[in-house]
Amino acid sequence: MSVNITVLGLGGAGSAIVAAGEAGLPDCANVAALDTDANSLEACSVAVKLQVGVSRTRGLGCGGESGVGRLAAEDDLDPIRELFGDKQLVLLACGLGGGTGTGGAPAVLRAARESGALTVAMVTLPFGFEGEQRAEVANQALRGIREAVDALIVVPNERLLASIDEGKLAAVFEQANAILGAGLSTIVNLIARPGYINLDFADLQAMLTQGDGTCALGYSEAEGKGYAGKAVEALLSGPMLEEGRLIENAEALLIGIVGGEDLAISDVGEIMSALGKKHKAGCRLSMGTYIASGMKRKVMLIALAAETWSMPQPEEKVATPKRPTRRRGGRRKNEIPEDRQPLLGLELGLDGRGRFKNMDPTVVDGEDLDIPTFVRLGVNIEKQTKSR
Amino acid sequence: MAADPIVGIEIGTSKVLAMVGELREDGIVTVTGLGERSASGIQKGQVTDASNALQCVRAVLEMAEARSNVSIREVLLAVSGAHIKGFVNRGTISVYDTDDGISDEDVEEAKEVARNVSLPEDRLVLHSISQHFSIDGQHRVMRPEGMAGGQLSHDMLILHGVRNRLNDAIMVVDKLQVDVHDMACSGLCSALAVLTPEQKRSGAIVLDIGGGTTDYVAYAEGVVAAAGALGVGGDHITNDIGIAFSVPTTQAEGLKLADGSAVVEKSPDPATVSLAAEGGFPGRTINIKSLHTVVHLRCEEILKKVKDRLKEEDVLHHVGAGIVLTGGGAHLKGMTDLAEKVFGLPCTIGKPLNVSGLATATAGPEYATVTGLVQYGFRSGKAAGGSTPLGKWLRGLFKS
Repeated sequence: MSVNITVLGLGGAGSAIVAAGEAGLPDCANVAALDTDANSLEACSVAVKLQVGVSRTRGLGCGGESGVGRLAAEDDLDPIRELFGDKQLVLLACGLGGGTGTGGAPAVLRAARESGALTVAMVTLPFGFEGEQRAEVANQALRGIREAVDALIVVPNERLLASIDEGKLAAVFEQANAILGAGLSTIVNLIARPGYINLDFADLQAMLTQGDGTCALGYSEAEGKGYAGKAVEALLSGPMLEEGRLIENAEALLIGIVGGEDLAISDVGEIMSALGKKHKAGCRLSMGTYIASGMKRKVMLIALAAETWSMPQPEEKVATPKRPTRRRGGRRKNEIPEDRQPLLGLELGLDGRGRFKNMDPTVVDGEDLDIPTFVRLGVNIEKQTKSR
Repeated sequence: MAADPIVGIEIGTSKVLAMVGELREDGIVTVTGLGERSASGIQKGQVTDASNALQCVRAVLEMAEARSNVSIREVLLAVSGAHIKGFVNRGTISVYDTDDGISDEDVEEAKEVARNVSLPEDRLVLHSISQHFSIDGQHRVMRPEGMAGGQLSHDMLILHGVRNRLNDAIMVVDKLQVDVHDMACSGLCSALAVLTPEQKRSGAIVLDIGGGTTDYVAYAEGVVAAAGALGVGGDHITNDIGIAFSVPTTQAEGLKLADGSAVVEKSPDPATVSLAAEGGFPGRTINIKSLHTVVHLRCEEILKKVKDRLKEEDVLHHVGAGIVLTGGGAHLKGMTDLAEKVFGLPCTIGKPLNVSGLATATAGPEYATVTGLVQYGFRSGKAAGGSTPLGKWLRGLFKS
């Protein structure tokens, strides 16, 4: 059975991620870029492009206003819906903290869901150097997106920095996009392409509905002698999965292994046994492999580690800071790697408890009643009415 | 003057209250002094910052002393919190001398057995409340004395709380060189103050919606059928508003009081409310309907949780007189309508009965607890000499 997949990039960052991953995507996937900014859309290499909110922004982008981004997407929901058709899986990539992606993502995802698709969003949180305000905006947006999506993969850009040679600004973004693009295309490939060990759509669906649909992305690659060991070592020690802690805590794990013709059973075994030592008992594990060209003596690993959205973690507050060098300068609300729930970097929604955050939770029938009722029920509340 | 004045203190999450009351010959309590202050250092009914709480209690005691001209040496304390739980314990005895029917001694013995519960070391019995007797399986006997039977059972509602939590509140008062000579559950006090004997007979639920907790007491056939507390109250509504609209707590509280509603109005007028920018807060325009939705969802949840608990206790169908709301939460617009909808029972706002004196204290649902506490003090007056186990524990607490 083939799966119909649409991969969408929304906004500048989202389009760039999709563009970076497009080459690796299988032919069966529909790929499109959506943006309000005509110029950056023009420069994007993705074949199918859709400019949204033309009447509102005159093609000049949102100016970082997420409210404009939301309205822009809502203006053009009809052409957006046409992109989905009868797609069973919609993957949306966007960067949070700006306008188009941040504001528009919930509307686009809802439209995709209405068309009957399972929706997966891969979102990035801004780098520390992008400033506190963008981080704030991103955190706020995360909650709205989570309510509109079946599965949410959150990647704080800051975590990518360790895998990037810091240097020129453009290069930093480019490399970050390359990693994210590779992660995105790998996920799609694992589902769409026949592999020796198949990861099918149902696996992803089960994995995503396990826990409650939020996961972290881990990515690593290695080549040369002993590449399997090196890759898994990099995955487990890298910052994207908190030095492996996210694997330890995951309720469910999805591992994708991409290798060349020479990928051996023993390589796969080595990778899986290294991971097996890490994850906790009872963790639901799915694994898939596929063979790609140009991967001789090379392997690429991706991991999706599922997490529970509202685990009360009061005792985690005392953890020691891991990256003191970066803490001082560009300290951001979402840079809380010590917390077991770094993905949920919402300032209020870190645990959603607001003023009760330092108190014993009021747990009744397994529910933390300190978390606002509307959040637990997933009711979308408009934060502010636009008087403009 | 029939009895010495009694002073009740309620250390609530949003308000600290002290009331001085005297008992008139006709059984009505006259309020002669009142101290009140918005609370700090209390969260969800628990003392979280003892020194702030201490200042509040000192201030309200001084106010109450000044108003009433009484020097306060000992007080009654109303306690609340989600840690307070209740269960029904049945004590059963065999009646040996069946010729004269059940004797007074038999009744006392059955009560004693029912009262005798073993709780974990960290818990303390606050109240043992007599419910019914049953004789050889015949239930709901009120006065078994003289009746024939082989086996007599007595149901006792045991309310208990966590020792240390209760201690925290007592310590605060004790630091002021004032003795706590008895404690009572807030919910029970409220019920005592607002329910008529008729309401108790036909069955009623008192819901005391405070800042940090919601206490509930259900009466059926004239006795307390169930009681407990949920650690959710008005502060949660404020917190929800703050999170929903990203506004600071003070603004959220203001929104709740001025524009909040437990039911979503179809076309509120005006449709929006604007908050001015102030010290770092950028200002906002908020849709009233969204505000109502946030408040409604929380209130509905609180009511439903209480309903679920009472359903488990099997008391809902014994409630004929309906719901009586007390506590600050009773003031929230639409709260009675929502409670009527959730419970399917008539709902009113309770005001303290059988009190006179200071006008403010006798008017509002937020004074029900402390008023009931003073009334409780007079009722259990005989025991005030020191024979209740709780009183003993309280006195023993600071001796060593």
